[in-house]
Amino acid sequence: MARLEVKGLCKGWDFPVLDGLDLTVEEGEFFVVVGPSGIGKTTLLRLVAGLETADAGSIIVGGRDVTRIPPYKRNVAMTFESYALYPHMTVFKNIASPLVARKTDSAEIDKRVSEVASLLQIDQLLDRKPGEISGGQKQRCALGRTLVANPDVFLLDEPISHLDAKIRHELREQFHTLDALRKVATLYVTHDYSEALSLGDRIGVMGSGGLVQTGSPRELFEKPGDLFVARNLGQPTINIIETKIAGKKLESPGASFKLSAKQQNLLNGHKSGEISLGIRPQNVRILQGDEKPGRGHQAFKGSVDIFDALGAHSIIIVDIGGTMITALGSPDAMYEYGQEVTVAVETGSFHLFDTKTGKVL
Amino acid sequence: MSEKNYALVKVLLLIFLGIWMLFTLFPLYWQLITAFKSAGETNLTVPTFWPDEWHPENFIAVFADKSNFGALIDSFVIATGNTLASLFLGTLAGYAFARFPRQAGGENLSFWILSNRMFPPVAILIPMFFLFDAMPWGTDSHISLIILYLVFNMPLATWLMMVFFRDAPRELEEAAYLDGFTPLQAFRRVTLPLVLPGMVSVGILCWIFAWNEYLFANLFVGSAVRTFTIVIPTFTNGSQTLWNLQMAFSLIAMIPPVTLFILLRRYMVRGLSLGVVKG
Amino acid sequence: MAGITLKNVNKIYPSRYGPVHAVKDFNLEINDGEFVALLGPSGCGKTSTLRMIVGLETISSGEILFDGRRVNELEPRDRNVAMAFETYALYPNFTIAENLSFPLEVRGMGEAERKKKIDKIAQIMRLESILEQKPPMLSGGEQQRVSLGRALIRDPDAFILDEVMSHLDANLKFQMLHDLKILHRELGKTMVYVTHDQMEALALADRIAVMDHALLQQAGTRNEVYREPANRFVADFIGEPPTNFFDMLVRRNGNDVNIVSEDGAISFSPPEKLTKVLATNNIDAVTLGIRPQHLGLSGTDGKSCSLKAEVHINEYLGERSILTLKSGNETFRALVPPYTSAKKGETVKLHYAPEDLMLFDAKTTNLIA
Repeated sequence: MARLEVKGLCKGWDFPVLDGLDLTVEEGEFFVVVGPSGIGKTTLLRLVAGLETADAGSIIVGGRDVTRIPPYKRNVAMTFESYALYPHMTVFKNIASPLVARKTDSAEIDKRVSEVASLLQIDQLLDRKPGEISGGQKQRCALGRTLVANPDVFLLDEPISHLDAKIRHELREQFHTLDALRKVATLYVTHDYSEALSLGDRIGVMGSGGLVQTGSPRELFEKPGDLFVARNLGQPTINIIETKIAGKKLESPGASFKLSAKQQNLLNGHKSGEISLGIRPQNVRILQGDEKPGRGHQAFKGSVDIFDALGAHSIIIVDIGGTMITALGSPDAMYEYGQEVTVAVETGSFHLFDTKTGKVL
Repeated sequence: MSEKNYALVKVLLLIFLGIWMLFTLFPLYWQLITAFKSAGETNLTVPTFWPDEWHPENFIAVFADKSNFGALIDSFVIATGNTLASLFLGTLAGYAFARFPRQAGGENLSFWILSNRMFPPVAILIPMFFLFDAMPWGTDSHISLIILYLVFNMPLATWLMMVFFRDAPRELEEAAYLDGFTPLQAFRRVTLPLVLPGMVSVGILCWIFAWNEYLFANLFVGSAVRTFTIVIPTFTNGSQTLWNLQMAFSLIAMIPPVTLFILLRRYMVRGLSLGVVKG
Repeated sequence: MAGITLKNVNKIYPSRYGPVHAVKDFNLEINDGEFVALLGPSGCGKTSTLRMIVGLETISSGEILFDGRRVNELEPRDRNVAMAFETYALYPNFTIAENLSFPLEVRGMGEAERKKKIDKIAQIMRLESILEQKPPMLSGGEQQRVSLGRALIRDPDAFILDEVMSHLDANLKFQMLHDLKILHRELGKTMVYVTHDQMEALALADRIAVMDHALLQQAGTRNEVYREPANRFVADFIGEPPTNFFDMLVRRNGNDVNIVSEDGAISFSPPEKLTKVLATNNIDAVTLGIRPQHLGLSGTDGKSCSLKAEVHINEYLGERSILTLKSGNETFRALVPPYTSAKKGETVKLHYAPEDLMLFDAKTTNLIA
């Protein structure tokens, strides 16, 4: 039982991957690092695990500096994106492996493994080999191997992103309910923002070199501090409209957006006058028939450019005089290409970013 | 591909395979029947394709000289000793090349080791003789041939083991480190079982090379130690070559490698590590 | 241009363990210019079907017609069907323009005409800026666009896409979905899209053919497969988060019909239409399906019925939240607005419209309608 602290961690090969990354995961906290692929998330995990050596900075587990300690002495458990199950061993032996390494006696091993296996609902598979079980079962087995030895820190590398949607839901539920995971410091890495929002007690959004913003799921989604964060959380991606300040409005080609007094205050004294306006698609809707925009909404006329019905909802991209805006619609709606529509945008939901720095105002 | 073309290709393939079989099986057949012929029958101007008279006693006659049996033992000791040494060194070197290519001298060094295998043996025959003659155990000993054959078998073992280790996912070892195993334990518990089928194949290749080697054996050993390969040409009667005895003895010498192959066949099936990762 | 008809198509592979029936009595008519998705889990026979259409696999029995013309005996190259694969299969040493030009050169087309065609495809696929680059320098999405462009350039009658998006990440996938839609709109060609991802199928296709266990389970528009799935499999396979299923018993009381769980903890009232059906038939055990998006925390939008359940997990997902709920022995999910603050252990009332219930015969798993 321990907290994980990462201070000023640097790692690079031909180019820097991590550049002074700071991170603290409290004991019992589930911390999710989310970011696009290839940004260095796995490198971070491998450094904490001890599979790579840090160029600079320190990693502290439960007050002990482990930066220069080899992986097998760190008491850190990790699941790999590829599961990394030992193909020549049965599921039982795979799960028992950390206990064997710790020279646990065999009665204790039997007990612990069967506990973990029943917790993960893989008790029927203990005699099989990894080649004979499905992807979801492999992941449970890999998870069992990390859970069994009561490590100080859990590291989970994209554990569910390669699985089918349905098994993803099941395993997400599992992560929510596994007390063992919720008791220690867990560092979970994923490129899927919805996993991050769903699972994380806190989330860190990773950009190049380090974490761009950390906070609770709601903080990050509702108050992104940076264009990068806004773009990386949310599906469909947030509308980012390049605008210029024009008095009390923001103007883009073909559209001008009214601002509330509070929003105008934010713009006071802005130098370049270039603002990236972020609007989440769920704050944009298409008005039906003669419907009038509600309070706090601004209406725009435009024509449908793309319409995607996805079952649970539909996505409509509307061209409002040269500016494209994505709206979320009901699954039953039908729109034709070029159809004239009116979109209502919730003005209170605007996110204003400085175009140059990418920072929120 | 239409059905008709498919059938045609199949027929052509069968014909080709038939001819191929003929080429490979004929020498075996010839060896077998010759081993049962009488000395006179082997020297007929018009060869017979089936023995007129069967002489199974040829197989006993080859052991008239008791030390001929010892030659098989000597060969076995040398081949086995060399195989174990090749595997041991080749596995360690192969692992180093696969996992730490930069520290282990990179592509150049590993390729240079393999290139030793391509060197024509005859070119080093004489220098090698003098070199080994200067050793305390001389040339006429088991150990000299065991070491000498390393020149050929170790590069092969190193290179092949390197390929097998490269195929064995590194992540499995890393997973073992995180389980709490030291690198050596991880290597023994995880990596070695994965490359075992490959290792068995390499072992068989090395063993067969050492078992069959004639050129160096002929020059190096002969009195204290005799390999079966240098015994075969000794079956003569004055100027007359006793083909039947030579064939009988070489048939007997074929038994160990064939048995070995049959026993270890199932380990040679590669692909244990397939489907380890993902899938 | 071609419509594709599959008539009683079967594919049987010989194997060591006896014949394997990969596609069974497959009947489907794909209209000229239609975008059809062939959807199913891995091993369901969709790839065999596709390979028979293209001509890479012989047809065991039945026939495939292009515009009414039997093509069973035609070689792939004579069918004039283009196919794009999951892997990009571009020539790494040639520029994008050369990659695109290759299928045309093979057909002996003159240079001026080739240039014209390449420019047109490049414009549709947004490749103008990368025509002079080589494949290894491009991103996955760009490579996939080039590979589609190359399949398209020789002007095939029909266009077959095999899992072309399965290894693109979410954002690229989204972009690609749009690209494909635009492509279909501009070219108006018959397209068959094979996938195991229901989201892709729903987003793209005019019609979706769902396959499982070598059989065509249902072919219909997006709304048909989503709202009136032919059987439990289709209801389960299509939709995200997955549909909730309950094993229920039918309780009849004169003209009144109720659907109750075995332990009596949950009950549903079926819509009027189904009440009549259930009152007259003799099905006692049903599987009830309801999609998480059809369970809400408020009684608006015609959600006139309700049930109570305890919150097990509240997953915040940004645009929405998923509640995992427990009632009796059943665990199920509801999709609710993101500001829902329900906590673990809290009991909530979930509203639904009876019309959104899907009932399946527990024995046959077919939809009761």
